[in-house]
Amino acid sequence: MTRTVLTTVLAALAAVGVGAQGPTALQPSQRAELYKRNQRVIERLVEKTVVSARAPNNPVTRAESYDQVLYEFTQAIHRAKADKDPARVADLTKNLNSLISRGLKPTLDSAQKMVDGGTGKDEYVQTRDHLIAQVETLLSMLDDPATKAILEQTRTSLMKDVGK
Amino acid sequence: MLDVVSLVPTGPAARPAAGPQDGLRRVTTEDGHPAGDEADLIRAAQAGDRPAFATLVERYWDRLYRWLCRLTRDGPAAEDIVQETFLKAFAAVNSFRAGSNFRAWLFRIAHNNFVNMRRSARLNRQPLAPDMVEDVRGPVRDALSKEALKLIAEAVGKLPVDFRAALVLRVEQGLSFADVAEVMGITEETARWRVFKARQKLMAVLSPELLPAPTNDSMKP
Amino acid sequence: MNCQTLRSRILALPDPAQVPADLAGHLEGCGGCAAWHQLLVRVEAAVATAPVPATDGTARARLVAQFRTAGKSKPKAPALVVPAGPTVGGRLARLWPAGLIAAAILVGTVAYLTFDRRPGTTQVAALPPDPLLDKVVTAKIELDAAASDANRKARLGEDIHESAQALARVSPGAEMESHARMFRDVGESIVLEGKAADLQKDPAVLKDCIQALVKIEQEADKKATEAPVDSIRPLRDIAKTARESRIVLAQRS
Repeated sequence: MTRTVLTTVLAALAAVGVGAQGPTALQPSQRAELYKRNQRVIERLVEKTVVSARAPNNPVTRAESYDQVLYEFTQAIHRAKADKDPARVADLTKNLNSLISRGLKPTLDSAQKMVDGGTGKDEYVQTRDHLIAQVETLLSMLDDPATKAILEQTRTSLMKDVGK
Repeated sequence: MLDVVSLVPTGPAARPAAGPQDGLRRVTTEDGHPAGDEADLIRAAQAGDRPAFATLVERYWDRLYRWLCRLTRDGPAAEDIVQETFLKAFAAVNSFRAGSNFRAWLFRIAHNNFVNMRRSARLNRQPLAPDMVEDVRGPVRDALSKEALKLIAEAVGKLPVDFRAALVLRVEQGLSFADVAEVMGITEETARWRVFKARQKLMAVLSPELLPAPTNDSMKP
Repeated sequence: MNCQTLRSRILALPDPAQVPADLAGHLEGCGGCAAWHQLLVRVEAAVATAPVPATDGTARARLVAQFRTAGKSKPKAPALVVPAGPTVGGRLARLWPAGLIAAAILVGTVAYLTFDRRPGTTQVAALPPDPLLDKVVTAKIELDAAASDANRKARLGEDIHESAQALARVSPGAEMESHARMFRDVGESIVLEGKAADLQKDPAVLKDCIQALVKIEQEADKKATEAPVDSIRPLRDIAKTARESRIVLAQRS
């Protein structure tokens, strides 16, 4: 009897302990609301992921795919700021940071190497100009220092051969 | 830096509304023709009435021609595509859904024909004659010098064709972004983006030429 | 708001000549942006009215004649007069009490679905980070780095499908259609890659991919049997895409 009670109490305490860590899964209603807000950015990311995948050996085409993605992030951050939704601004900024530092930067490095190797210059120049415009717009509207630093580095990298 | 004739403030550009705005029942098309009249013509054409379709040709020919001239930059080629568009439209008129946007449907056929023509490289692709700037009249001509208009025409001609197509559909034809998307077979977001990029590119080229240098450079941080 | 942000927002407007109040304030105080804006409005007006080569009208007249001379003639359709009888809008307007009740029910339902009912949990206004956004960003980064990776794409497909499963009951309609479209794009990409895969190098490369697609097909079909009406077709589309993709891949492996 005592052992049964003790086991039950221990099991109950374990359950409370797990519950007290807080809910790890979002409610479907929350996910629905999140999707409503982020739908355009998500759709564009998936679309451009698929487009890039068709050009595995062409980093210039992959770099171009970031142009429209960055545009959608710009629009989404505008909307989040207008809605006075700092949590969403922070979430979008964090993801933008990842996208640029781990996605766009290495892609641009490969693209620049490809151009230095003698191919894709015209396409690269057009892509570079598009990306400079997007990066400058983002720089003017973001407050997060880490993301601004990454954007500055990206702009410097893009600008270094402007005019050549 | 070229002179802009004057920087007299202007009111909002007179442009057809992008879609119903006030919830009232639309009684005319954007051309000013009674909407029910157009619906009757389309129904008649669907029943095989060719003269009814001839009226639609007369109404839409100029609009289609203007837009296709901007895309092709080749007057004779634009005429060919317009003709082909109407022939295909008549052949397919039974696929048009009553109540949907006839203009967007027609322009969609035109866009497809343009894309096919582009692929087969049948275009002559000569720049539209700069002398045509002489033909501009009215408030635009009053507000911008001849040289400025030439610069604008050149800059528009240099836009990537998809950006140019979307921009002209929006500003000249007055189509909503949703209708632009329908014509070009893209999403509404992509239509918005193409118009945005077109404007951005135009202003990047034209601002240094047409704005005073200190005004262009001195932006508030 | 700084000038760069303002100009970017104006460029994104449906009509740059119609500037909302929050942007107009900056224009009133900034001569540079005001001049820039004025130029933009004029440029658009110039684009709208730019002349095109005149034609002699022969082609048009010929085509019109071609249509006019053949076929039956018909009296010109009468001009539309705004009808005196009740319009659809008028008939609907008379139902306003029912409309008011329906609106109240709708608002209540949205509030009920939106706000979590468990005491002490977070309100939707302070939403946590979006897990799907995180996943698609990660997928873009990883797939851009990899030359080709059908299995990684399959994982992206799984993420999209999982999101569709979560939304099926609460968000039927446009959001579900959006998921089905994204899944179709990813599915096509997986098939293209599968067709090009070097199976001699790695015979089992498609195995995990096929297994993932089988699972998605089964789960999507199952969910469709219990989902609201407007979620059924998107779920069936996802199942169909998964089925067709795995059939093509299975033929290769």
